[in-house]
Amino acid sequence: MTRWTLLEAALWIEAIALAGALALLFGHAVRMRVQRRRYADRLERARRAFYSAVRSGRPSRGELADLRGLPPRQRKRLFLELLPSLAGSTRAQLGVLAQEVGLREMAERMTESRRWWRRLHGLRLLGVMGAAGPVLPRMLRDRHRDVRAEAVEAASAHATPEIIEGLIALLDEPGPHHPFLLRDTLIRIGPPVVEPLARYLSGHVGQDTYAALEVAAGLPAPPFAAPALRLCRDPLAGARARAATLAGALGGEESVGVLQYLLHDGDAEVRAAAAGALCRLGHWPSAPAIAALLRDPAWAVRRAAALALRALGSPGQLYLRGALRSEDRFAADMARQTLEMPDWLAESA
Amino acid sequence: MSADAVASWILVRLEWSILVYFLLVNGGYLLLLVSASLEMRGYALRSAGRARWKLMGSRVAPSISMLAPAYNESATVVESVRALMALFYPNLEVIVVNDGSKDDTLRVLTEAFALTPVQPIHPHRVPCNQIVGLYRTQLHPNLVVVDKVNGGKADALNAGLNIATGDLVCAIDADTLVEADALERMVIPFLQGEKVVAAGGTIRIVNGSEVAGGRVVRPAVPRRLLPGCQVVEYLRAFLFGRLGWNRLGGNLIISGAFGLFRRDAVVRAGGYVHDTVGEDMELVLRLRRNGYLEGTARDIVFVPDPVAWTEAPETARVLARQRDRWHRGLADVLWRHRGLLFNPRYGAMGMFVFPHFVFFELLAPVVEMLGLVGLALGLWVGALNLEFAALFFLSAYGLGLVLTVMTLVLEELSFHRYDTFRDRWLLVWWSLVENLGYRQRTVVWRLKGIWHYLRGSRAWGSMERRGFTSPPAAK
Repeated sequence: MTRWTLLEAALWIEAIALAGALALLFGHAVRMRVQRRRYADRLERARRAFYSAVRSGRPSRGELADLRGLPPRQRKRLFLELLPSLAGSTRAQLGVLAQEVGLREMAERMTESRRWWRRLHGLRLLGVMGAAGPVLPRMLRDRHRDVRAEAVEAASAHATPEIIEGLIALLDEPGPHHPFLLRDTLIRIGPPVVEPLARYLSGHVGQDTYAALEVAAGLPAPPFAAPALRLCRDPLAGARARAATLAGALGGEESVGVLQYLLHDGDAEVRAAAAGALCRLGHWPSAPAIAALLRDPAWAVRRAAALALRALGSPGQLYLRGALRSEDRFAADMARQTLEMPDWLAESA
Repeated sequence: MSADAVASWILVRLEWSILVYFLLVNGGYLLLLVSASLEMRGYALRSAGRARWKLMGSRVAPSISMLAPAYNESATVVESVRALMALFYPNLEVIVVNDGSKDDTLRVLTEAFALTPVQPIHPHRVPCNQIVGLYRTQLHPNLVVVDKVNGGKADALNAGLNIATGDLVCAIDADTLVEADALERMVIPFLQGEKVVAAGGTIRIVNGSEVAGGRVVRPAVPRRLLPGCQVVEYLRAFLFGRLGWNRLGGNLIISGAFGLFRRDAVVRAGGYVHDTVGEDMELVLRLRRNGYLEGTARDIVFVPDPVAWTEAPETARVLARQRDRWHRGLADVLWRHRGLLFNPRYGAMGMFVFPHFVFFELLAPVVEMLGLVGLALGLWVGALNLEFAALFFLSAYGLGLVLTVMTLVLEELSFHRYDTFRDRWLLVWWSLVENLGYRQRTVVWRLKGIWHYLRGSRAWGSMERRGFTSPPAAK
């Protein structure tokens, strides 16, 4: 084969590839335009049927036919587009409507597909219809991480004890799951999570408790008191800091004692968390101990202490004013910044 | 053997070597394109129908601090800040760093937002020039304006890092138009995994598009040559370059105009370095390198659909300065981290990604120029046949054209931001035209960048902006 033939062959291949790419580019554009024209009227009628169902609770037979007349893909897209912006009884009614137009059945079938993305989309559709409950236990154990994550997200609307236990079990293995979704879902579920989460915290230590402590701080309740106090003595600073925040949200004489002890912790994150927690409790007798932290070597601790003193009101502000004359320049600077801070800024800090 | 014969022999071999290099480069790009297509398909499947509203109402969503350095931006800064304040995100702090502007940037900000000075006391987490003023406003409690002694973009970003309180920091250019839902999209990798330390979004060219209220309301492909060719270049760089690397060993570049980072990781790494013009790439390389050294792999991901729009240079003079600076930055960063080259300790980054950037990005203009000069010389001394040279030229650039049009297909099948047939034809037109002069000029500018780097230049050069004025709406 000569160099000429090689070059000519390369050019031919390039020309064919270019023609193919151009055909794909403009073919797709034409297809989109044709589809848009073809479905514009039908989509508009289906949207009107949807709004009518929102207003009256039930669409007429003709409107139902309009919804059924859409191809499954468009029907799915329409419901995914409109359902998430609704809530309460309207959403429940539209869930029934979705069942009538065959969407629920289709979504359930999709959750059994061998393809992960069909399972994902089926679950997503069931989730917006508020009908994911029956498939959730299975989906929480799905082999694909994105499907499991979607199941975690959908779980907040179907919080049966079994599902809550399933979610809490995921705290043990945060790696393969979306950590944010798990924390967010547990907080959204609210009080039903408290008892199982308290049990979980009682049986775990260290890094395994981080997510659970953050969730508990968002749902403060008496069952968390004992594990919070225990974890304030955890060997890991991250756990102690989170436990201090939780203790601050719970209150109680015992919490105050532990938090005052944590003001002298070896880790800056823990000292800052303890100062913030005592401030949240409004425990003004702790003001002298918090004021001592204005001379802390860590900026975050000095800042947390100063904000805590300001939030404690007159007793705390007295210590802040005293710090203005401190020989420690860092303490004086922090006190000055906090005292001169406008009220609206101090409240949002 | 005569001198002419020796010269001919050398020139012919040189041309063949260059062709092999072209094949290797374009083969690499083909691999990237395949990887990008797979990534795009997975991304589209995962994100179709995803509800992001839950993030907006979440109590545990990570907080984000936007860092917007501003230098002599008094004409546009208020509109840019208003657009930033209107981004959809539940827990957002906007930090505008006035980097010692010589114009009245600070005054217009103070008047527009009723700023109140607060004591400029802050932690010194990373080195930066002195912060002389801190301003807050009751109108927007999440807006912070920092006034500091001029020190350049990296220094301004470091000042922002010292003030930021967010879990994540988003570095942008003050003149970047960030799409309203871009943060909601860009934060997703951070919610999915603890290993992600940085994420980058797509930068698109705003020239020619319709802009209103700090938002791009109708994207359009510019009709002018230079911005038109840059639209195609940016699509290629972001849609198949960076997306492709997601799967093939990770990204090395997060654009300085729009990148989201885990704050504690950046602070631990020491923030941005001041003495380079490639501070964005340098930071990403350092983050990844530290990850390998500490034994905790760190992911740098590219997310294709959060979009920020930027103004492209419209004159050859300004574009030349920009490309010179980019290439100087690339050379500097690759030299600083030369220990990574073919170093198995750094996994795929050391063995594939870094060498690709050295041989196919940094040295590409040198090889391309050698090829062009060799071609001209070969024709002049009669060592090369004119018809063969033309075919050779056509096949080399033809492969590039095919890859570019494939990128347009990727854009069409995924986001199709450019909705009219006119825009699509223009994109194809610019893909073709960029090979006829534009590309060769960028080779010269990039070569100048290498030359200036070797001579120790650290200058940024200035960007002349036309502003985000919209062309009349198309009828």
